[in-house]
Amino acid sequence: MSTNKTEIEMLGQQSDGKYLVKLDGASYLLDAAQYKAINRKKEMPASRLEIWLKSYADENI
Amino acid sequence: MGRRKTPNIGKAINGFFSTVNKMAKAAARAEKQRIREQNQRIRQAERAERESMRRIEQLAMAQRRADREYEKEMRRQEREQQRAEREREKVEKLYAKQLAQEQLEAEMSEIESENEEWTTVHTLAGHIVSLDEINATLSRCDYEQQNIDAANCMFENPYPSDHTAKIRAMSEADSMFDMNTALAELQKARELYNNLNFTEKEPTLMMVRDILTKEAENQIHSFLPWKQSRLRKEYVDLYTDVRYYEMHDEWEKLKKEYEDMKAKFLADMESKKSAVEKIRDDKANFLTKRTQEIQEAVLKEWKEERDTYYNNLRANLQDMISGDKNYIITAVDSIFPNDDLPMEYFVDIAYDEKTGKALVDLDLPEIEDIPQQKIAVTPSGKKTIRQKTQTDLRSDYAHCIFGLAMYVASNIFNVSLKIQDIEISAYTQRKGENSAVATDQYVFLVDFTRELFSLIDFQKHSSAEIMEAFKRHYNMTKTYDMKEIDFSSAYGKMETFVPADYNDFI
Repeated sequence: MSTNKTEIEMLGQQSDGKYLVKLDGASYLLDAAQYKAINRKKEMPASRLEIWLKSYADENI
Repeated sequence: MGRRKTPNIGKAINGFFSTVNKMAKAAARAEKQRIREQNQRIRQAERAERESMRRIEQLAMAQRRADREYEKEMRRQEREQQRAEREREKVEKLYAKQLAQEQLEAEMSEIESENEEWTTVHTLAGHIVSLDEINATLSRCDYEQQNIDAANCMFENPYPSDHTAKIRAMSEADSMFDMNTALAELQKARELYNNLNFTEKEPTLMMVRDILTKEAENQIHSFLPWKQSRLRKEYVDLYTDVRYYEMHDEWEKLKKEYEDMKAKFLADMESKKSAVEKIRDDKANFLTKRTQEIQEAVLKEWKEERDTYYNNLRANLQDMISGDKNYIITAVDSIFPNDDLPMEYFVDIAYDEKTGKALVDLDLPEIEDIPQQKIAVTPSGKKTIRQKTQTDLRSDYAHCIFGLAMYVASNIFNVSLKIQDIEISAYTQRKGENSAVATDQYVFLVDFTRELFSLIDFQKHSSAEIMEAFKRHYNMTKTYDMKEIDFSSAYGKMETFVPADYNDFI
């Protein structure tokens, strides 16, 4: 599992109330709690952040 | 004429003086006697006075002695009272001391227990199940579900006996069939029948003649005895037959009435008896049928419950083997937090199906939540309650949070066999040095692998020791002060951390 640092973009709240986050070109829409959790983890390696973001995105389906 | 005798004057004078002398002597003697007697009286009076004085003195002495005795007794009683008071105070003090000691011991025991609870969380990390164990349980599941008589089943509800069904059916039957009333009515009819007796004696000629004789004696009177006797005899003879038939007819009428009544009571009793027997038969039939119905329903319910249990167990076991990501996330969310632990914590999980890696974000309790007191032993060997030092608190906190990570990991490993390793990032809320606002600070990272984790004996070592068996990263001083870790380098440090030989921990 890679631990290379990749910049995560925390793009804030959208008009629909969701929070937009971008990582490696992929966009993720999160709720407030998930956004807060990702914000806390934003210094994690991209490989971990990707797993978290995908997991949160799955929860929101 | 003779010579007149001349009186002897001298003699007379002498005699006079002698008499005077005697009188004087007598007077002197009398005076002496008087004086003697007077002196005697005076002495007696003096003696009496002395005696009186002596008695007064004796009384006074006795009084003084009595006063002294009384005072002595009072002092003794006072001393006794003071001693009793001291004794009571001593007992009270002893009791209070004992009570305080008991309270102290209870408090110490509570403190010890609380500290133990917080610092040995890792010992609650359960056994990690393996595929072989799951397969064995699945086989057992199939066997037990197919064999209703199997012993020591995992489904613990026993095969329902028909006892409960019988009781329920009996209860229903009791309310449906009023046997008591029927029995009471039968008893009443039986008593009526048994108590109905015919006591009238059948009239005889002799009985009739006796009656007529008494009537004749009352009604027929004559001055002439032989005439009276004759008239009375004629009366008896004349009415005997007529009266006999009258009386006999009356008796037969009564007897007939009695027999009719007896027959009626007997018929009534038989009818009541038949009613009782019918109710008994109906009730017995109902009981048999209803018991069977209830038992079948209970058995059906039990079988359904049993099937549900085994089906759910099988499904859970299957999920443990092959459950997907959604199952894992849902299962973990349903486990945490629970009431097993005394501290507040929160578990967030993400799972990567490709690698079998679970990422756990663990919100730890704060150091302020750690019990503040500990039990120390004084140089004299006495246990005492002490405030923990900062080092104590930090040490307990470190053991607590490492243990919590192990407890959480053990539960997550048992959710699915697919989870091969669990990487825990643990954070807590801390206030900055110049800030009143608490922020989340990550304090350790650890990567628990299933293979190694399932070998560890969690009862044998402290959580801080066990951490050394896994790849981990934290920044902890010798005094257990856990600094915030820097994610930019933490993962690299964790990857390069060389764990201790796991053989030391199994």
